[in-house]
Amino acid sequence: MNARLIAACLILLALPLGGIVCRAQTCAHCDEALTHVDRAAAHDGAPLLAEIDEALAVWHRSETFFCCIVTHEEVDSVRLALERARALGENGELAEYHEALAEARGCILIVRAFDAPTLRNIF
Amino acid sequence: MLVPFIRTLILYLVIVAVLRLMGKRQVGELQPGELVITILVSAVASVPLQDVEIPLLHGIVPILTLMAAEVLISCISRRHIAFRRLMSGNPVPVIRDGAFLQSSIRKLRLSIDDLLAVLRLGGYFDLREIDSAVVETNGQLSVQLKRGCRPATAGDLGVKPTPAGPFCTIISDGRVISANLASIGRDERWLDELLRARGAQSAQDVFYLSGDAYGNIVFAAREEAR
Repeated sequence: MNARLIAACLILLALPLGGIVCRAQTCAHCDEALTHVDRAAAHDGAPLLAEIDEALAVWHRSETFFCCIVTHEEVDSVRLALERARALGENGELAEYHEALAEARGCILIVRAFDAPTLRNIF
Repeated sequence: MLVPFIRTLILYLVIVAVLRLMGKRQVGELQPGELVITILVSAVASVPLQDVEIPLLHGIVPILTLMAAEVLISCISRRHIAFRRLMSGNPVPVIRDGAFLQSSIRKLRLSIDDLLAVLRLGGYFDLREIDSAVVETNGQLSVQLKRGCRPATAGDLGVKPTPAGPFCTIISDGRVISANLASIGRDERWLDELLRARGAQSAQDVFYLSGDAYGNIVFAAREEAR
């Protein structure tokens, strides 16, 4: 076997393996952010700003990773939605706050599904 | 400004590496599969190059995948004739014994004008001189002339040609390439003598010098800068 063939085989092995690792990381980061968003959304009383801050912190931490695999627009939309929810939680109506949280949740789910090897994504 | 610059550099390096890994065939004669790969690589590379919103990995991963697939497919093609036929097709004769093979020409979806144009481009203007012609798997036309129309070789003429080997560049624009000098079995002393005999003081006075192992030389002195 020549070096070129070995390199090709290694690349063909490494790319899907890398894909699997990336997918696992994407799910882990998104699930962590979703946990905080869901906790904030489940609370009926005053907005749980600490949970949104946690979600934002998770997102800031993972932003570089996400920008490597997901279009930057999708990554930015989650951050903007979380920041909007936080602002509304501080000064806005409760209904608007919950709407913003739902929007942030939807944006996170889009990022989570972005690199999923589903038929929808493949075709 | 800096971001597209860095992205361009990275993509450029990846594409150069991929083309180097694919080998020289990729640049010269292209088989159908290779042509597709070449077109796809440039198309895929241009997407993240133009849009900084798209992750660089979306360009690199397809390029690496294409390259690895091409290497694997060419390796399998080399070992299995049936697979090679599947990937590259067969050479198709279009002229045999001086006669057009019309069914083959039709099968190739060539018109007689297309075929004549390719023949003329190859320098074959007189159809009576052609014995056979084959459309190769890379789309090029190979032509064999009739026995009496082929260019006479040294053997036909009974002439013993002067031996000449592959020429190596010894001086390029005033710079001596020592490795090439050694490869034709010569040394610096031989070079100095040659330069003196040609009226050059040093390598700086030579624009181009090449030679072979049989002592054949191509020499061009450097012209005075105007």
